[in-house]
Amino acid sequence: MRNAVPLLSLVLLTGFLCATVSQQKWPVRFADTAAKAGLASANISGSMTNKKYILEMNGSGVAFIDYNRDGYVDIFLVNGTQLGPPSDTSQLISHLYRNNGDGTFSDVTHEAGLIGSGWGQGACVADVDNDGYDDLFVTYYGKNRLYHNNRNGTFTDIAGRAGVAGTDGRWNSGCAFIDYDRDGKVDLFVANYVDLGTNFSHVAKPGSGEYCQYKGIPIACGPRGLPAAVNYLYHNNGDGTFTDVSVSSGLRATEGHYALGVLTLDYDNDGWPDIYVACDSAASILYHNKRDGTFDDAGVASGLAYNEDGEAQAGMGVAALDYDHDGFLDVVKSNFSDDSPNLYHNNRDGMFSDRVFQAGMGRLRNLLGWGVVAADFDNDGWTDILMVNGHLTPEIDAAKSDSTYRQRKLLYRNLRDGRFEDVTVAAGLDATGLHSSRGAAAGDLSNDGRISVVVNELHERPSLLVPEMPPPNHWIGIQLVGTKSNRDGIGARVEVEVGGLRQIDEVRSGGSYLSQSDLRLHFGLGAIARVSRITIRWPSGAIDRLSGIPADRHVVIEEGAQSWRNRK
Amino acid sequence: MCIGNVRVRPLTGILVTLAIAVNGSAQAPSTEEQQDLFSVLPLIERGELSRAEEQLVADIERHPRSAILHNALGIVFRKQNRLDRAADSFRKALEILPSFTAAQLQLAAIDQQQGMKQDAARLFRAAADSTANFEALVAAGLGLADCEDYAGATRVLERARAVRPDSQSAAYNLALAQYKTGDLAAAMTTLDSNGVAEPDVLYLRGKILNGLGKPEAASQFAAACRGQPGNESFCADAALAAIRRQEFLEAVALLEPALARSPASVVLLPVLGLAQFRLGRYREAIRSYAGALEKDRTLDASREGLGFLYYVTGDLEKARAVVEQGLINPKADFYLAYLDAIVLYRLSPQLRAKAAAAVERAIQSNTRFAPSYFQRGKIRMQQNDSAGALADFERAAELDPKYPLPHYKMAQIYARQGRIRDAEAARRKFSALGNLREEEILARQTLEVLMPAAR
Repeated sequence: MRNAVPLLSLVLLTGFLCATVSQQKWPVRFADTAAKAGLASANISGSMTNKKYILEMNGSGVAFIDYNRDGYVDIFLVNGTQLGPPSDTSQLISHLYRNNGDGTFSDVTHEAGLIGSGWGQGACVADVDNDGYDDLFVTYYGKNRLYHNNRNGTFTDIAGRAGVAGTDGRWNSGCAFIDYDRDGKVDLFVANYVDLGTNFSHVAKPGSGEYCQYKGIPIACGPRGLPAAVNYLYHNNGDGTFTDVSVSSGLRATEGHYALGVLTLDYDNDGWPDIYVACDSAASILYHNKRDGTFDDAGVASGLAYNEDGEAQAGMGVAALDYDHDGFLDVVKSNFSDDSPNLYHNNRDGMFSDRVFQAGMGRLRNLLGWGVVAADFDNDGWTDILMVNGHLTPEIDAAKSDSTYRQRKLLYRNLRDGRFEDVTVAAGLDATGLHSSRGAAAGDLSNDGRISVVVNELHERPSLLVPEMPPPNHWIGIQLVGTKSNRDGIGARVEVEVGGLRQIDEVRSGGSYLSQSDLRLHFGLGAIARVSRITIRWPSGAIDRLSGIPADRHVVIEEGAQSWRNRK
Repeated sequence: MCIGNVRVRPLTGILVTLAIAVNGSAQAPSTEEQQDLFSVLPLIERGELSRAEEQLVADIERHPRSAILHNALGIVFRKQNRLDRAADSFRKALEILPSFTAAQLQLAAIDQQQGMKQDAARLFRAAADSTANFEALVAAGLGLADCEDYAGATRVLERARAVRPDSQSAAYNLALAQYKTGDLAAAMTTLDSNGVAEPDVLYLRGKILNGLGKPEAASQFAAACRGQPGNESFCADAALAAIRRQEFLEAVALLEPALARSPASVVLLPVLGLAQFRLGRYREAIRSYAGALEKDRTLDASREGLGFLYYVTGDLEKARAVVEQGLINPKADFYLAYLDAIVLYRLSPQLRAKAAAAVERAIQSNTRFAPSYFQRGKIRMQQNDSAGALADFERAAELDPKYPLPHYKMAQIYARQGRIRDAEAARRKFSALGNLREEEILARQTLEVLMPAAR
């Protein structure tokens, strides 16, 4: 009985943030409003029904970017193209949709000057030149594009001039801006998948080899059996150009991976951003920042390279979250079907343990995961996980296996005790239909605390998953503005203290599957309407602390100002 | 009669053995004895065994030294399953006429039936040595094969074939015996000389080709199965061959007609479950294994398949229930205990002690299954017993030199111990052995454990 008083006090202090939630009804129901909202463009990725090459199967990502600084996050949907001569080039472009602020979007691709076509893969966002306007990097099978924001609603591709376009034949996949040397200018990491070369006629036909079938069904070959590509790191020179430091930074010390999703995070809390890369059918990579401009691969040593046993996985998308509020970022990664995703718990000693089964997320092994976002959808102060799924190609349906081409999405609710609950049905996601999903990004598109998700669906128009009602909890959105640090505060660690609990997150470029979520940070606050304290550890090393910030708003915090203001 | 999995063509009718000559013997039966015998044969043929027995007893009273009448009485007793009385009668016949081939074969068959294989083989050999009769030689050859004297069977059947070179059954049975001796080339030559494409011949050819490592085995099995879909062995082996070739849809197609005839076959359902598993039809595979287990709850193979499927699909509680039900049997197969260990390990950290006990049981039952040591090493690693874990991983690697995973765990332990060079060496070894996905590791286990178990 001597413990009764302290335990009771803790419960009172933490409000319902610590209370078990497994018996509570999930409060957020999503609807797919894409059609009504005007997100009408269909994804294209080679043949819709008869895919001969792996290039046709991976699909594309999606990026959130407030390109016009109107306070509403806009949507950029990366698109692929067709094999052979294009029939109608007007459809073979990526699309920028301006957020009208009323739940609808307008296609402004042409007026923004983003009409490039090609095998678009992923996208990431950052203010490359610290001018206050976010720029957009788009990866391709082929030359990449760095769309510089002209501050007037238009963009100019400066990739070639900046030195980040790469060469034809390179299969660039995930990307992320990262200020790895903390010099106040964002650098650029670009993952690469398979070394196809410019002419992939050498690739064997479906069904022609060990790596060209799935369950006995002939499908496009790869990635195994095809040469792996190498990753790139570009250092921002601060003059509109970048220098390829892939070799000198140590990236090339580890090769033979098929790299896809990119996640930047400071996994060891040393203040220096590291890079985790989800790799397909090979060891995933953890580029550990050695604080001197170089990296080493800590994937195997940390336990992030494989599953617990050392089995390679087909890593696709990746996200970071501190799901147990221990002050260290954990990692969730989506994988192939016949496997489980990973929920890597950060053991706070540089190592991770895969707790996916303990967490209750290891059951649905018929789903092939791609985009994954970690967000507090119900604003209860505990980060949830949404995964989007879909198989490689329609041909696999011939196997009549439990794993189909079109699959449902999955929402896992954080039960606050290390476990997650599948609330897909309660969240209405089962009613949003079956798709072959690829990239996914999350953010507050309506600026009211609702976290929406946009999903790039293979050969379909995108899904726009919007909570029908705001969650019944308080929240705060935080936009950082670096002064000494890079302008977006990318890499900044933010700790929000409320009700006795501390939540952390970082401003992050890239992530999920080849996608970019809202650069603003979002924290659920539960029943508590005021944030006790916000602590920001800026990439510059500066630390800002603010307190007593009212909830239910987006605030802007400028480096060193020690104050906040409402975002317009 | 069977030789292993291969069904032979038996000689027809017991009366053949009666007709097998005592001809030429110095003690040929008298005309009266022969008349007595021929008068009782219709009774035996009609199954009027009591009347036959009565008549033969009376006949023997008149001709107490008649080998053929004692032999006939033995046959009547044998048909009544009164084996001791039958054996006494055959022995009496042989006392009277030691070289009486028919009595030798009959007594040998009883000895073989009663597990006295050495005595049986001696009599089969003696019978073969004392005759040039085709049917007798074939019967002796088959008997020797049943006694697992395949070399002896081969020699006798070669003689039979020399008597009737055009006999398809002799050629088939000789090929079968040669196959069992391991002389696959000779078996193939013999079988090819047969020229017959009946299902059992196709099946044997498939067996031989399989033994020779020839991929054509699959097509022979498939043809045998299609020719005789009611034969579970033919279709099970045909489907397994298709699974080995990763032709999973073909495997299902072969099994479906067979299962239409035997829907609850405990031979076919586990094989179907395997094919469905490899096709990713997990729910169907679960139904197949569950169906086989429902039919025979003592079948470890089906229980292993079902537990494995539940594990693969992440339904760990059901996997545990299925597996632990089987482990109530103290003689349960080691793989059930291994499955229990991996299920418990994955189910909850609180069950690690039980997982450790399960893997100990698996290792006690089978000391050469590398994944058991790997699993125990993982548990020991969790318990911070690095030395014990390393020993287990090393043992797993030693038992299965192509097993990459132990090297991964060794690399992790070395890295944590600061043994950087050792860690790097282990990591390199791990990489050299190849990156395998869990699906591939599990598929390998189906080949190594579940597939043999299914047959």
